[in-house]
Amino acid sequence: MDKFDRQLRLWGKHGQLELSKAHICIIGNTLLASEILKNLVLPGATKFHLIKETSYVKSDCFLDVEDLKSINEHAEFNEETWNAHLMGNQEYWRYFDLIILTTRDVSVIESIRCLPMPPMLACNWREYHGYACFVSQEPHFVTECHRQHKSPDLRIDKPPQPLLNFYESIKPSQLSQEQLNDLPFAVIIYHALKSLKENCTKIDRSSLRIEIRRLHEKTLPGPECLNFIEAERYLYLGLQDSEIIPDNLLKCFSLASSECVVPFNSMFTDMISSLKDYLKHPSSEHQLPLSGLIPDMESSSEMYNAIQEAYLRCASKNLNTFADIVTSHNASVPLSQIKNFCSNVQNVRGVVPASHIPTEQDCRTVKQITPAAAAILRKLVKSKHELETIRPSFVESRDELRYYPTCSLLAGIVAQEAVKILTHQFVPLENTLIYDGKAGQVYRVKL
Amino acid sequence: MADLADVSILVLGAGGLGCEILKNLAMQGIPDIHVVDMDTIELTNLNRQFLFRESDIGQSKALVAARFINEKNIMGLGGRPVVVTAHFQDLTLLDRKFIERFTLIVSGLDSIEARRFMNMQLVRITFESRFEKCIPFIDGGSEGLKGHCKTIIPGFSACYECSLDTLPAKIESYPLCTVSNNPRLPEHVIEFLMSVQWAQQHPDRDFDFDSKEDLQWLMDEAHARARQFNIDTSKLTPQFVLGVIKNIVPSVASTNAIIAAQCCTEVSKLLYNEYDIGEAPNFLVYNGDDGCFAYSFVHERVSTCLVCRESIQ
Ligand SMILES: [Zn+2]
Repeated sequence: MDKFDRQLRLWGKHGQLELSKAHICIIGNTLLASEILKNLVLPGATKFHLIKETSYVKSDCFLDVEDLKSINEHAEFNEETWNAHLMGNQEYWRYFDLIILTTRDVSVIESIRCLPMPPMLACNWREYHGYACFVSQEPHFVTECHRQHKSPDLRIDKPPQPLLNFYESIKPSQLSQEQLNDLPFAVIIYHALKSLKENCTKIDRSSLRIEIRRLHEKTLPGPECLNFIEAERYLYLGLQDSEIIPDNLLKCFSLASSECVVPFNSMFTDMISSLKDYLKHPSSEHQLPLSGLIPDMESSSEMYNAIQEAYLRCASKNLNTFADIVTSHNASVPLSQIKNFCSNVQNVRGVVPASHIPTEQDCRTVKQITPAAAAILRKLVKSKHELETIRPSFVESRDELRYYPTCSLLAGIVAQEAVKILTHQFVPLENTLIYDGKAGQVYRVKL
Repeated sequence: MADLADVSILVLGAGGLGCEILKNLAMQGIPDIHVVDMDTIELTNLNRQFLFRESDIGQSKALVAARFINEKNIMGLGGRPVVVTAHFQDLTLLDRKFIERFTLIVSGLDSIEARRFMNMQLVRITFESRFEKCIPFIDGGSEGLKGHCKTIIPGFSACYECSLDTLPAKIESYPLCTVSNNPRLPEHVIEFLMSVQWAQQHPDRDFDFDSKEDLQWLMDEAHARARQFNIDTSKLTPQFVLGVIKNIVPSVASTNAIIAAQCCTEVSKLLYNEYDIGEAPNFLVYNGDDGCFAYSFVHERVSTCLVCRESIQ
């Protein structure tokens, strides 16, 4: 078993690879930074650049860099002190995949505020309150959003030619009762739709249901047929229009027009423009590339294998056509990425991060929509470093101790968003989160 | 609440949530912390259970976690050092006297039965003391990028049992007819081997999840049966097969940090009299799958709850 088994089940080996090679820069020698670092070393990030302010010394954190090295001996921690001259230049930042801004030193924040920076997570906390903000100059794209309740991609309303051949190869009128019981629900819905069309009956939920039941009756009397029950449950799939492009993809179309520097994003925008060409290609029949993945359908093993093979064959034909178009746009896109894009194309997502680190000005905008959130944000944007200054002893500052979980919670959120951003898996925060631990509320606002 | 320097908290579980809870409570300065866990450390714990190292594999989670924190020499409330006491045992064998000495109980367990046990004990303590004694019970749970935090004031607000219907339904099992006659997925193949074929071939003993031989038998038979029904065998890796038979859920450091921290924020609010019983949301759900979503609400007591319905008393 792999040490990372429990998380590979979420983002796979390819996600793990992205995480392990990402260059992450954490600004601020804060308690928050130490908790975030722990939450990133544990899942296997290894390349860290840590920038410490000169303005203050922080109180003891739970784990120091030596502890973190013992968690992962391959992790590298490059430590550097803030240098306004060097770091006030955008060149300094360009090699990082992600910046995490935890400092409360206003002069540090002001020096980088106007620089074009790589994707950044800015965060701060105080007492029971915290915020995290995803800042980037470009949109963020996600191929694998891991939606839990995906609608099956079956194209029953207009099967593309290779699928049509399969559906037409089955003639329900010539099948025995037993063979009807083995038909996957997609075949039942297809033939019910077909006979409605032949009889020029208006196709809607109730006419389709009646048609499915008419076919079902041929198997009666007999044992309960799960395949027909499934056909009724999934009949909405027969009422869809497979030529419609889903909204999430349309949003990606509009976002993909901007220039992207993040390698993944630029590859993604190339695939989006290739997709537009693909849809004009005759063999696409104006439909998106087929994923080829089908849900389990009640049927015999043979029948299920046959339908699965038909979908996989059609998907691989679509993939080849699409891959040719992508390669003609940009030959450097790896086939694995094209394949991944094709299997997830119905669910790809584009997110618009905040364009800048939150300011007092933003609090005014937020106030109009969520006053409670604006009050918290105002406090945090102005919050200086009094909490992080050195403590003579824990005893004297014991009132502060009760707030430690806020720091811990925010560090969990920032680390989780960091992994989502770096792997381009799961949809990250769009674009600011404000946490109120006292009221147990989380607000999401757009700056 | 009592004098802060006299606070003692019992933590149930020293796993992914438990490690985070223990660290937070120590940093909050809780002087007297107890932890109970009967598990030992495994390799696959190390992507999130940061109080353990590879050299600790096979040892008690509770003991190693307590040692790690105690070696940090953290100064707690009232000038008392933070001390963690480990209990390497089954928590359902803890006696009432022991439970009664705690100010609060925080749970980071994955077992529903163990939580039900503790919930029942705590509701009884409230009732039998005629509401003189009440030990709040804060329950965290996590799976993948999702989790929850429940705050239970036994006898006053919804108890664990009251909220059981909010649990996700158990994963559906496959119909026997499908797995024996029409297997279509690798999962169907494994289900058949575990529920039918193992018993046929080994009527004398149960499948041993820790035995290499038994797992090898399962892998070999799974491949053979998948081939027989023309099912794609590429998915049938040991990781996949183990995931199916042990119902392994994904788990990451970040979600545990979020949920454990929410539990410990509830601890602070209770200890510093900032918690409004009946008014404060007692149930928070978190979901990081799509954006960063958290929702909290007041879960009302269920008047027919078999545990906290007062007419029983
Ligand atoms: Zn109850």
